Amino acid sequence: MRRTGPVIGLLGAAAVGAILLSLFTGPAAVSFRQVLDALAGRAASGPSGETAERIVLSLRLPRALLGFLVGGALSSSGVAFQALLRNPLADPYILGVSAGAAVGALTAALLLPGDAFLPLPFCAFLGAALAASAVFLLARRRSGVSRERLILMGVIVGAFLNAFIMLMVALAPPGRIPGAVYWLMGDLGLGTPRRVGVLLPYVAAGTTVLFLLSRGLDLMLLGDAAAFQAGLPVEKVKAATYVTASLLAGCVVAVSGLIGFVGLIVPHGARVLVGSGHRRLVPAAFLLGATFLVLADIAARSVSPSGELPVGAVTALSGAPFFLYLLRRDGGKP
Amino acid sequence: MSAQVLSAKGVRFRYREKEVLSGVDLDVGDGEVAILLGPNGVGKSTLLKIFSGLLAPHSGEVALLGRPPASYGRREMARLLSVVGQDPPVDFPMSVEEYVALGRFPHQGLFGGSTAEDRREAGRALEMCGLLDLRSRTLGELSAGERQRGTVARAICQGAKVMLLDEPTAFLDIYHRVEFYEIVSRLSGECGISALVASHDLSLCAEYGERILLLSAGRVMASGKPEEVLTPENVREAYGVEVTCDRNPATGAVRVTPLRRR
Amino acid sequence: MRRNSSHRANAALARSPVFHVLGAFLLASWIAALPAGAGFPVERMDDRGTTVRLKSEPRRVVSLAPSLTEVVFLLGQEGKLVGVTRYCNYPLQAKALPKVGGIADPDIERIVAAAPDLVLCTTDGNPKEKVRALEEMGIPCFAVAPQDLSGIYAAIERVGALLGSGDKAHRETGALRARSARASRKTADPVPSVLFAVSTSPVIAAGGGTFMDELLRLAGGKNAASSFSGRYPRLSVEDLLAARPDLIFVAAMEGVEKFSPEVTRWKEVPAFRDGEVFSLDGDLVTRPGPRMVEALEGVSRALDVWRERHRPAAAGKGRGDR
Repeated sequence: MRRTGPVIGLLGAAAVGAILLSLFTGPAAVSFRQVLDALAGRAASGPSGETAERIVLSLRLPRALLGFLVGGALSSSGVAFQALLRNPLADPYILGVSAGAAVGALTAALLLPGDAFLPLPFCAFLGAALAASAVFLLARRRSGVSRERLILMGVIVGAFLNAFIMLMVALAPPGRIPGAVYWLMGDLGLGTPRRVGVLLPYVAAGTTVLFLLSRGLDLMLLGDAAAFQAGLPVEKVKAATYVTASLLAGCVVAVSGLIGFVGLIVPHGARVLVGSGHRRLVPAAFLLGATFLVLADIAARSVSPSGELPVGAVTALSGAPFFLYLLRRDGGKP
Repeated sequence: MSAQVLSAKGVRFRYREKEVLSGVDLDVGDGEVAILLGPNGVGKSTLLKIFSGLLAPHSGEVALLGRPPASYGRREMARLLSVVGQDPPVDFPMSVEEYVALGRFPHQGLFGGSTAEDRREAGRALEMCGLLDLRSRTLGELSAGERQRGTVARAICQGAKVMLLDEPTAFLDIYHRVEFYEIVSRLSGECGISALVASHDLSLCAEYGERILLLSAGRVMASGKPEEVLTPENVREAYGVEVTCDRNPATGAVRVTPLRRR
Repeated sequence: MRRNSSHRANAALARSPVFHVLGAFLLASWIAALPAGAGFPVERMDDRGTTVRLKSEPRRVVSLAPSLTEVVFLLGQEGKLVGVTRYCNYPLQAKALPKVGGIADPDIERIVAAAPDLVLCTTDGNPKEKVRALEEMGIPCFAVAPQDLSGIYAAIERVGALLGSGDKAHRETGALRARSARASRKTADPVPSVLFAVSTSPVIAAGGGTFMDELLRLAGGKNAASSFSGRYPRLSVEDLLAARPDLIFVAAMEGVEKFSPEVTRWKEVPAFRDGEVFSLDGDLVTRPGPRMVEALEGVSRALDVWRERHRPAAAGKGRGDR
């Protein structure tokens, strides 16, 4: 067996490194020393020192942690969906989560008064949860949920909701649209200590559940009949996986918008590094995704002179070549 | 306690309106290798699925070690019965080792760790199927024959007393078919495993099968020793093909040869 | 009845050269006094480089942009309007006019059904293909897209000429120029750093090349977003902290748009610390029309107040214009 312990350890170190790097990058003037002081909890000197401390602790650190949690959650969710659907092209958004979240967020952005900020994440989450539930319930038959029906219902529900999105964007008053569209492209800039605190237990719980279901995910790769005959309570595991993975994706979409690509490609990259066994794959994908997203966010903030770029664009642009390289190195097998 | 490991009495099954099994009676004894023959679509796979609990018969009784499949917990059932189907999926890169080790699931459950016994059984299964050298390769890199051996290894690893094999040699060449039946024989002989093999290999199963069950028109038309079951009349009625049957001079087993139509 | 003699007298008159000249003169003045109105035919080039030629004063005009509707009302020519967009809401009477669609989606059928003899449109918002379609149907279209205040004045003058109210246009633009001059603070000191936000979540600022940039510079301020390239850069909270604007104007579109409390709690930003965050009706600053000057006046007033508060104590009175 490949020695994968060190790989996971390395990934963990990379994630921590990325977070630290994120603390040192940003347009505001914060010195190296000030970052260290803030982290060490040393008292800041003077008003500029206090500002620097607040920037590090209340802006940069939550943003980095948010990137960590979101990247990790999207990747774990992607791993789970790929196993559930036995499809290497599955990602966390495939079964209605993204379309539902978008409808929820747009509804909040367009209908609520301009100074109501809290409801948007909640509405996005609600939209995602409702859409995912609809897909699951529609796909259910007496014999259980087959992956073909799941995909089919996901496509149908997604198309239906996308029509709504188009309608809303077309009829919306022009002033409201930019905010909603930017949200749709993914934004980690909404990271605050409170949001991180709220997200953390969900991401921790969801990823832990997926980790515990590792063997179940392995067996599901063999097909429903084989898994059943091997002794797996197939329908229960499917339902548990579906619910957990959808909730994970829904949570992070609610907080940070639609960041694509991460949930699709990071699982493949992680497979190249630690193999297909989910016991190792789930944690490896989590850490790899976390590192990747934090780094992408640093790039999104630093690269363009016209201000921030949407992080979803950066992940796709930078991630595609990198993961191509990883996959080719492995001999080209998916 | 019945000596029959697997038994079916009057089993009927319908797919939508079409009745596929119309009263099947069969049994497999302890340590026996029974081969289920019959044309395509006659219901061999269906019968195996009923035995493994995947499908429920519309009427009749099915028993695994004397109890109906539904009375077993799933994992308990999996510890007793393993199923070898056809080609495992290769969408994802799984190593042979990982794949075979999955067979230990009924002993570990979702949350159990991997014990020394698990590793030992997996190693033994790999060895028995001649896969030790290939253990680190991914399934996608193997040939169909090697993959099939992997599936058998997984079933062995499961440590079950009874094995159901559903047309496992369908895509294999003669070398691999022979090899496969060799393994099954050894399993039965050395480990006392009972096996019910659904197959098309009329001649090979005559060599290896202790008992042949010929399924035709929803019933077991004939059951018994190869030479008793494999007669031109039976083959004609079941398969609709004219054959001639004689003894293989080298082995003494029944040999079935199809006759060309004029 | 002495027909024979008057006949002969008339015939003689008709043959005289004086009659011909007099007749021609009368005919010419009659033609000139036709309902074509003073100044017609008129010809002007629009912002696409297309020359629009109107033989006579248009009677039925369609406007495909709220700014152009406002211009038509300013010129007192609203009686000619037979179609406006659904976003045309100023002045109030505009709301009652028949609607022909939106800005990015004008309804060709409705426009044609209104039988206009002139369509006022903008290249900054109306789709080119639709405008071309109208022209192919023989409807003259005049497109303007002012990029700064002087562009707005020029547009008003040209539209005025086309509508037959060139004099009124001239008077109105003169008044606007005067107001704008009064509101300009070229030599004012100190110079505050000003941010003009078109969105508060995320924070999107008006950069160089936008109207808002021009307004705040005319009012004697400095654009806080000048270090960013692009016309509408997106700013993170940290960018705001680095820019430290003294005042922030929010171009509020329908309803008041406020910054989230997570953003305003950063008192290192002088605008948040001192509460110098102002809401401006978004329509004023996004429509390149006459009310842009009103926006300028508002911005100027706010900056004046700020300057009063931040004037160095030793400075004398009378600096800057009021």
